[in-house]
Amino acid sequence: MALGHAFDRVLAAARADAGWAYERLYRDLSPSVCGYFRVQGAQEPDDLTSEVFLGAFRGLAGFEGTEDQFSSWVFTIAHRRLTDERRRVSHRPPLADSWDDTYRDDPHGGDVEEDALRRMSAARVRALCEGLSHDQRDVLLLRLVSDMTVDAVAEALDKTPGAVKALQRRALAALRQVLVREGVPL
Amino acid sequence: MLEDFTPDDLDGLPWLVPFAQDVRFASRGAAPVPSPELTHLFEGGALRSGLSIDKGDLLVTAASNVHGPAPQAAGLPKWRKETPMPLAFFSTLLSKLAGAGTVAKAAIATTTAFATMTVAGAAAGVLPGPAQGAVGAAINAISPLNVPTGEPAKTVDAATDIVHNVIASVPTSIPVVPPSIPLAGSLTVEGPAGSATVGASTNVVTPTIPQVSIPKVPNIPLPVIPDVTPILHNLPVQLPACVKNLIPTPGTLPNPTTLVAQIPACIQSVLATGGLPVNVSACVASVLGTVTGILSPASIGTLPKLDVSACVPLDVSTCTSNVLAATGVAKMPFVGDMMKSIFSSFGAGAGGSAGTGFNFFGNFNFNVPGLNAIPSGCVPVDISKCLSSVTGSLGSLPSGGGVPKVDLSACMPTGLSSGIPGVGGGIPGLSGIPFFPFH
Repeated sequence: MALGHAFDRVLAAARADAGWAYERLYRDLSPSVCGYFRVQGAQEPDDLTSEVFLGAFRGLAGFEGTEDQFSSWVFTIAHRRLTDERRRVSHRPPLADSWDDTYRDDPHGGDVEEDALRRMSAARVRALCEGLSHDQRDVLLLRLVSDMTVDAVAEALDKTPGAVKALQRRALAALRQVLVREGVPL
Repeated sequence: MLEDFTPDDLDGLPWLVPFAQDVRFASRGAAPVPSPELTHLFEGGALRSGLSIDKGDLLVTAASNVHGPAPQAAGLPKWRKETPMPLAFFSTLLSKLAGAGTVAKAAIATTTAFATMTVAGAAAGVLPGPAQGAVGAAINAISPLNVPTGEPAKTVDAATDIVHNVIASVPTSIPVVPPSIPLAGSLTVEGPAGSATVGASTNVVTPTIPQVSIPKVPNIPLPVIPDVTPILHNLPVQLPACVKNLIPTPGTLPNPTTLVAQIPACIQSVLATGGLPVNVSACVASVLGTVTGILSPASIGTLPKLDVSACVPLDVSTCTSNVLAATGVAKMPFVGDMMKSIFSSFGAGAGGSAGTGFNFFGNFNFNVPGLNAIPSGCVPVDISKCLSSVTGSLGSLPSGGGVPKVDLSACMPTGLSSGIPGVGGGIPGLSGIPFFPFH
């Protein structure tokens, strides 16, 4: 549901503090940002998503680029927010088990079944990725969730493209081993 | 999605596609609810700069709390109401699972089948001793099921053996009632004396019981019940086909979506089948209902109670008392004493094994003359076959996944006739029951 040709106009309106433009950008990109937090196992993906967009909107004046670049930029902010979150959680025990959240109400309504399945899929992805290092998981999920290029991921993670490719390769190998251990035919 | 992966990455990685699709599915959906700050922004409010959402900003904190606390603002845990998952959720979930890998399917199916069979087996007390103890304790801990866990299981086992032996010894013929003793109850006497039969006729004859002179107890001529062999072997009513073919092919994974709809429909069909003894309907509905409850391993904690007593319909004491009452024999004083003696040797009267859901001997009441209705408990079922079918073959689960064939037809009564009020069928011969050799 990319904005396409409308992106430039929406971006300009957002820079001019138009509420509808902010909302349009949010509606377009927030599901995948929230999903990224979810598959990464963040405890409050909705709250984190809001914080990411507030930060992005505050920094809109300094952004120049295409829609893809905007997406990469937002995911870069998201990833850094996730890093902060990991650091924060490591100093404090989790408030709730993330798996329990799978069965809780969707606070904003919608399709309960689909939402539950989505959360279960996220749990499955998290389980499969548990054998990966943080860096490997970040590379893989950023690539798959946000469609970011290797270069964009490298920038987001503050690594070289070569390092990102190496992490990606190792992540895939580790993931394959997890699946083999589970007996999934490859 | 994968275009930027190098050829080396993609080589031999077709499995990555479904994984990527899973990631995609998990990371898409409706936009999350924006925070109050974002909502304010969307409504045309000015974008506040700096650390406006931080807890230290008292003005903003107060404003954001006008309509309730801001999400996670105070870092407090969120208490949310948990609601049970609807059945439709399982339907979709199972549909989703149907798309999973083969091994995942096998694991889920095996877990489900094992849960089904283990729960049923443990509830029936038919698992091997150590397994019974462990499984029973586990199920007791997580579910409302009352399952024998060890020592108490011996009582159940013993009772099972007794009932099994009794049923195995039930003959197919009933001795002839001598002309000197009139028949009471719903039996119809036709033809010459000594050849009375139990028929499907609704012509119920309730003869008056004459004064019977009994000189000495040991020499009393015992009543002979008419031979009803020919009409006991075929059930007048068949269970619906869905009971036998719920999962038609062993070792295959049934269509979960279909199954979810199929089981309730089958229960309805069973209950709607006219002429089935109540206990058979209850048994089948109970088992099918339990299967529905275990469609997901996650739902084991919310299992309904598996009332296997519905599958053990032969209430020996009550049934025998009433048969005798129906034939007028029970009205003879010594019979009550004899039955007391016999049943006390069975350990009856204790009401079966408490807490197991079994009640093999029912609420035995020696007030025989007061029992003027023949209970449905008189319908014999091959308990061994029934339980084997229900509990399945724990040791021979299909190796390729899937669940064992579920065939509840073994729980059908083994013999029914018609014409006996209160039974919906008939009375089996009783001369093989242990105390009848006194004949």
